[in-house]
Amino acid sequence: MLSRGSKRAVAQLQTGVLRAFSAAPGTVTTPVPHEKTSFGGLKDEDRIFTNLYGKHDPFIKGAMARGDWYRTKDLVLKGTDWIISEMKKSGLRGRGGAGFPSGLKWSFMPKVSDGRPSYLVVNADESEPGTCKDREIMRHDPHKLVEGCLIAGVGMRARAGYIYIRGEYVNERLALERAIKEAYAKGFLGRNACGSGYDFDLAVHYGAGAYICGEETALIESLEGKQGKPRLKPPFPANVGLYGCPTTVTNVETVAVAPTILRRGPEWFASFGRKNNHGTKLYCISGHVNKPCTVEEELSIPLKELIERHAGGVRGGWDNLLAIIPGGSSVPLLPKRICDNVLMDFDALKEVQSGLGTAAVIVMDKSTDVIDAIARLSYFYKHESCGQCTPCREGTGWLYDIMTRMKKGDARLEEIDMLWELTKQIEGHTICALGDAAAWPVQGLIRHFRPEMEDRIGRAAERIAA
Amino acid sequence: MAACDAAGIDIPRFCYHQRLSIAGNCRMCLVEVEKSPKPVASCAMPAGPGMKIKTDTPLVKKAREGVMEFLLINHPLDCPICDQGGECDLQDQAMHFGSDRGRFTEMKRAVDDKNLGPLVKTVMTRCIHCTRCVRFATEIAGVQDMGITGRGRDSEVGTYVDKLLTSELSGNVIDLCPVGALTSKPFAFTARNWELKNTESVDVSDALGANIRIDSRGAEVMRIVPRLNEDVNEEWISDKARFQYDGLKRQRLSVPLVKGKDGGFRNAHWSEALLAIQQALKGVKGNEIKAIAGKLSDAEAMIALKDLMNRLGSGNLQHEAGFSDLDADVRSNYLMNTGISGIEKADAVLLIGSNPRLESPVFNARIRKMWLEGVPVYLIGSQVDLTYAYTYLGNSPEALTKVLKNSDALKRLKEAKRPAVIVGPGVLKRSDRDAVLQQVHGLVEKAEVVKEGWNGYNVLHDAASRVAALDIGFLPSARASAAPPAKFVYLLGSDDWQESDIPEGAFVVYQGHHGDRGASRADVILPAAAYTEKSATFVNTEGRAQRTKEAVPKPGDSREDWQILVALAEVLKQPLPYKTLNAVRERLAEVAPHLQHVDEREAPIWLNGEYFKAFASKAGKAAASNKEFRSSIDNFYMTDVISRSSQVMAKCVQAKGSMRQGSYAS
Amino acid sequence: MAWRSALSKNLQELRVHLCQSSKGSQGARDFVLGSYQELKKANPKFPILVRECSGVKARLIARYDYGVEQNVPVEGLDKAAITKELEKLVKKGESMPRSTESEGSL
Repeated sequence: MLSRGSKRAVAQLQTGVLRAFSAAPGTVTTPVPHEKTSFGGLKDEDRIFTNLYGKHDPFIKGAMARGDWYRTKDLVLKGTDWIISEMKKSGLRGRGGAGFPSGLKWSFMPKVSDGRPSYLVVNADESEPGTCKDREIMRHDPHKLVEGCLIAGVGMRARAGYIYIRGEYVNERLALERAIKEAYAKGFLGRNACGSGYDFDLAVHYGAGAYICGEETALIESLEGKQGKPRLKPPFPANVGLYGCPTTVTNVETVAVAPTILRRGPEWFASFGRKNNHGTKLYCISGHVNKPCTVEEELSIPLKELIERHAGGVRGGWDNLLAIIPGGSSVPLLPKRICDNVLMDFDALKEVQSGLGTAAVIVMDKSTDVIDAIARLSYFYKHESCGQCTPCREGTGWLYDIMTRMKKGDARLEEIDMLWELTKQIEGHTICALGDAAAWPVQGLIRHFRPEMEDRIGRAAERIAA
Repeated sequence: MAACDAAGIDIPRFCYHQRLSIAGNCRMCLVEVEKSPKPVASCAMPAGPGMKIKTDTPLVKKAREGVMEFLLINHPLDCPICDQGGECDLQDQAMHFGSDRGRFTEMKRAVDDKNLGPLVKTVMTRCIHCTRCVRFATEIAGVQDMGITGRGRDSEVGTYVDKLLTSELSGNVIDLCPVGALTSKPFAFTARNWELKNTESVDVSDALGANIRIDSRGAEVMRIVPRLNEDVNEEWISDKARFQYDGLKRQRLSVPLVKGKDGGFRNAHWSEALLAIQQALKGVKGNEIKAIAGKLSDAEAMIALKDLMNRLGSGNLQHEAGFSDLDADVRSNYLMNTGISGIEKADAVLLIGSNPRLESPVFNARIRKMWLEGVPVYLIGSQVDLTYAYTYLGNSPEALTKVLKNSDALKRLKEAKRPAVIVGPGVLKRSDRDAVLQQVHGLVEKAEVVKEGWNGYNVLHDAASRVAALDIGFLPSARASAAPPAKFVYLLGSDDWQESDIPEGAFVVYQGHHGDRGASRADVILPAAAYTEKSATFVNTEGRAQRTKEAVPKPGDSREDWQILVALAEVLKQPLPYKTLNAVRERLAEVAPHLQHVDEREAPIWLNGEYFKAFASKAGKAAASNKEFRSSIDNFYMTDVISRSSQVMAKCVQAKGSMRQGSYAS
Repeated sequence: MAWRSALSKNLQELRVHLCQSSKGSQGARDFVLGSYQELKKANPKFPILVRECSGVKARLIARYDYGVEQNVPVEGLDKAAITKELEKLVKKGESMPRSTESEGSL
């Protein structure tokens, strides 16, 4: 018998070969991985998404060659409890922006049905500005998602899964629909999925162009055919969700990495990233970099290394950097001095008053008018507000109006404080997080670039006086 | 929020309403809850044991000021020209909970006004999107007409497709709207609420007896709004009750009129008019005198008339519009025995010959409430849109026979713990009524509608005066059908009599308040008071006696109905034994004691099948014809003399003109 | 019993006031439950108005011609006693003055 250690070495030598796992759940105690201090430099054999750039066949033949759908039946037969405990052990946190521990979230689903079926809903409404990772998954590696849906569905005792994809992603939807058709044809989905005896259906529904439908309860409303307006929580979707049945809404990436985690072991996944921030992540780097791209890297990688290694560095050199928005437009920006040292994971970014969000890195160099940039983001939130609750409906419009004036410097100095107060009035007082998302970028601007704003106001006043 | 309200703590709110679903979107009710990082919407969060809720911390204060500030930034500065001023939730809560100054210096948004019909005026720029009107229309009124279109700041509440608000309860959104976005069109720009005198009274436009508050200024009724009464009308009134008051100012009889030899009327003094009546009665035998009571007659007037008639030797009393021979012996035979609020306890409902949507829209809303909870509704009658789904069983007595023969409906009623049968005017006004009622009685027995602790047999009337008439026995006495044709007819506010009731050449006296059909046939017209001008007793369809209160003075020379009859009795040398209102009411109590127990509902006694047997022997074996059941109401907006004189009601008829031919008409 | 069919000949209207639940009206309740059907059978067009009201004392009220009424308290009496009272009322009606209301056939 090969020892565990040498088994692992063998596995790492052979690409694309998965290691065997013991059949009995929870019998093996995991050795504690050694505490890492440096992160980044993810090796190819550790990548989950091996066809991210579409160089190989995205569909069933290529997928199976890459290892998808390998002995999925056994994974399913391992059962819900095993899947959940493995997911918990892996430390996977939701990849859709909130970063809630996934194993815990999936475990909220009812263990025994009270007559209502449970549903899995996959949030493929990737509308967060700067984010383009789910798109790559869906058009280049859709079977990871499809298999992930089956696994996650079993993990939640779901009867069926619905993938809600944004209407603008036409090619991605076609690819996904084709992948699902292939899976059905091969008996991987539907009745007796993969021959395991578990029935699971999967369907795709597409949206009509609303950012708010990325919010989980608004997504459920839209799936039900109503206007995409978020519901109040409580009751949470795990109690009352789609059609009033227990539902869990998860991000594409979270679901897509699930089968690989189960195959390669949660310890392997947890070996990446710092404590509580485990695993790999898809980063979308855009803006003023030399090679904007989507790349899979380890969590906790230093921001500077991420940009320099994979995106060809900031335009005009690192010192030309002004600010970076690390996680999609909804999180506050970070000025260069923080970007020099910060690590890209949930906790580190929270400490500097930002957030990892969707890991959509928007780089702005010194040629950027940062006030204009934030004003454009404010416009986005004003446009996308659903209009249900008062602070967001009225507040986002007002924020945008003030930001437009700030852009020109057409304001008084006191109005910067008023602007801060307004964002505090919106934050936390709304039904869903869009209010918070509208408030944070402005807060980040005021926190880090107040001198710039005051300067602009001063110069405008001078011009008028002159 | 309910917990805080019960504890006596005021929490501001706009979108929350006790009778509507929870929306939680105004965010005005935010409170601080220990252990919660964000403030919590108190209308949506269920209160848990051990929860510590703080409503007066700086966080809560700031939250309220913040939300109020946001509400006001796009709200137009319309207070001086807005009808809601003085009774506006936004004004009141801004004073109490808002900050003292605004700092908004941008452009406000504006919204197009929507046309919701001749009753509800819309100024949608004032709308704060609380969605109360949307939820009311969808949930309670049952018409899916209103909704929100657009997103964010550009969202607009309206009907989107240039549609009228087609519900008979549409006026209630005026009460619900916390700001001046939806206001009363007839009331627009006529008065401020602080100059109005409020009088609590009862509505007479249908048999529900909805509790209303009459707002008057001087001698004019300015508007009518509902009063809370959980047992009768909750917080709603129908559009007719709300808007027909402008008919009180038109076509009024204010001076006694006597028809001259040329056929034209001339003004007369009271003494002249009464003497003319005395003159006309010379040579007329007692049983050649007839009295017909109208839809809006009150109990005091009817007892006075009955007593007078009896003293003159006549038993020819009837209630207008063909229901004259309704049996009044046992109350449970002509009342809503479950009670109006009690109907909600039923778990299966069968409607026979009733269109509750037209006959009593507020009662219909209660049935809809039950249907939303899952109670099945069956209908034998015209297949119209009642705002809820029902199983249609047919529209003739044949359908009733089919149901009796072991149908699914019968089974469902039998299985139900508390089945209810509602018999409407469609049954009561038929010529073969007794035969149909016998079938209904059979159904009631077979389906065990009446059991221990539950009486599910209900009759829905369509006129405010009918139950009182039945209670005091204002009916033909035993030999009335054998009486010779009438030579003298006394119309007590009756305008919907049948032609056969008044023989050609009979001398007619009309005592009422509007010049309508009755007055044009009359020879002497005696002006009386309308329901807003007298204190009078009306009994609603569940047997609850309620009293109106005098809100405005009577026009011209008119008097209260019972006073006219007492005076007439004196002139005719058959004086009545009462001279004051209290004395009349004591007489009422002598006849039917529950009429003194105002605002209470007496549980009717059920005679356990004895009544049915007696009925069967009286009615005989006549067979029911196969005519369809037709509602007694052809046009919801024009059912009595007040609504027929109302211009607002006429506008409604016009607006609904083409819709009448649709699923609406019965 | 002949007097029962004389009910409609001698009276114009009979009213029975009773309380739905008090002991004093028990007799009246029994009377109504037990006798209504047979009285009605004998006098199909005759109004027998049963008016219940909580807390009220049981009474029989006969209306004769010319609006004359006779009000007989029957609180505490049993069914038989009440029937006797009714018979007395019917008998009284034989000698009451008649108006045109009593003309014509039943």
